[in-house]
Amino acid sequence: MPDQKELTEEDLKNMSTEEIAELQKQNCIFCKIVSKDIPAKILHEDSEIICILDINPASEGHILVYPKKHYMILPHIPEEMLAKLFNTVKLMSNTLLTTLQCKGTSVFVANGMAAGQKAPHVLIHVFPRREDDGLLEMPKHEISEEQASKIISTIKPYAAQLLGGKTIAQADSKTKKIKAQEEKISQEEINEEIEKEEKILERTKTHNPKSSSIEKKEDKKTEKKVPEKAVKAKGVDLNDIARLFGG
Amino acid sequence: MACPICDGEFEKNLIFKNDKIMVFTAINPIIPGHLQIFPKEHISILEEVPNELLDYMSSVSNKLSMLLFELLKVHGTNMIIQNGVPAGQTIPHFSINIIPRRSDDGLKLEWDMKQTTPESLESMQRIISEGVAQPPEKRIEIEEAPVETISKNLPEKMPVKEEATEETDEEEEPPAEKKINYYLRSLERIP
Repeated sequence: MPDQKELTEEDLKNMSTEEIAELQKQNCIFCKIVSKDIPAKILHEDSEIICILDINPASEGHILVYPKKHYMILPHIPEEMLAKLFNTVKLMSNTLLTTLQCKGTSVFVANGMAAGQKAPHVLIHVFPRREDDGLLEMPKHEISEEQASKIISTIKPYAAQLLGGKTIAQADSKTKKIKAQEEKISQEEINEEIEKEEKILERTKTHNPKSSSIEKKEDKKTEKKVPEKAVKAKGVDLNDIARLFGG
Repeated sequence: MACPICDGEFEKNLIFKNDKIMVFTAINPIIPGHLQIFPKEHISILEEVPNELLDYMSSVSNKLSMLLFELLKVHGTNMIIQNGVPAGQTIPHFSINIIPRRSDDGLKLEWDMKQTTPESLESMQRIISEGVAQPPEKRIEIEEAPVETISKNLPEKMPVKEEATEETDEEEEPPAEKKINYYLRSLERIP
């Protein structure tokens, strides 16, 4: 803590994302709970994941499931770890249903401050739900048919490619050329657009390293280097999201 | 069993489908761009989802989350599972919600944080830790009854206002896709 006081805003601005991440890690309450420097009601833990009780619960039995390693946002987490987290969430939800006789559970993750993330450590909330408890209501938003179909047509090609489908950008280029002649759009613009599409997909793909086992090895060997590597792979938006938490 | 998802009542919302999962624009969207990932097989609640499938769904959730960051230029996403009727689950088919977020979108996906007592926390810790520590076989035995109750509590059929969608070839790509770049631009303007 004394270190932090000496830091001016100027210092923070000049720090690399890696350094900020390191600083956050040092001051992270949830990391201190893992290292047992701060007491918490621990319900379950293994070498990688810990489950604790939220001290300001939405309802009695509100559990926080999180990785012991300091990840700021969910997209930073390797797939393998994410799978383990979700399986732990399932176990905790299951336990809540059986031990507290509640008839439902909510699982909630906030990615980024805009989504309501309050701590710079990924947390998955699992809490018991009872009839008419009024927690976490999701009111329906009316969307026009036109808007709905725009959304579908925007996301669909990318989703198909990302999750295993055809290469839309390439397969589509021919149609675009024909269309361009009709609309008199320059060839350059088309190429630009195709490039843009490919870029988006490329960036989105690299967020989830294919071989998480390799990443895991690196994690163990050079823990300090990971944030930088992760950040590089993420593209700009992710850094912004992470940086919003400040130092 | 009457399930609007299995009956294909929301085919028009379909974004992606393979042998394991289906991705739809949300049946009851709370904001434009709200997506829902369903297992292809009919599974009612989280507890019934096999671990392997859950692994895959978590990976898909994260990828779609990233895609929304990039495509919709949002500043965050929420990932929400409504598990059981009291949690707001209205369709008897398990799903993971992915919700694009902006700081000024006016959505209140929060809850009032309650004050609790050390005694209450301690008793919760004891009850839940004991529950988790149960050997899996034993836990499954206890679990079956409540799980069934939850599944049965789900409404058998959702009131669906929309008329049945016309039969469409799932593999066929709608012509609208060709205009993706135009739509991409216009989508950025969606509040």
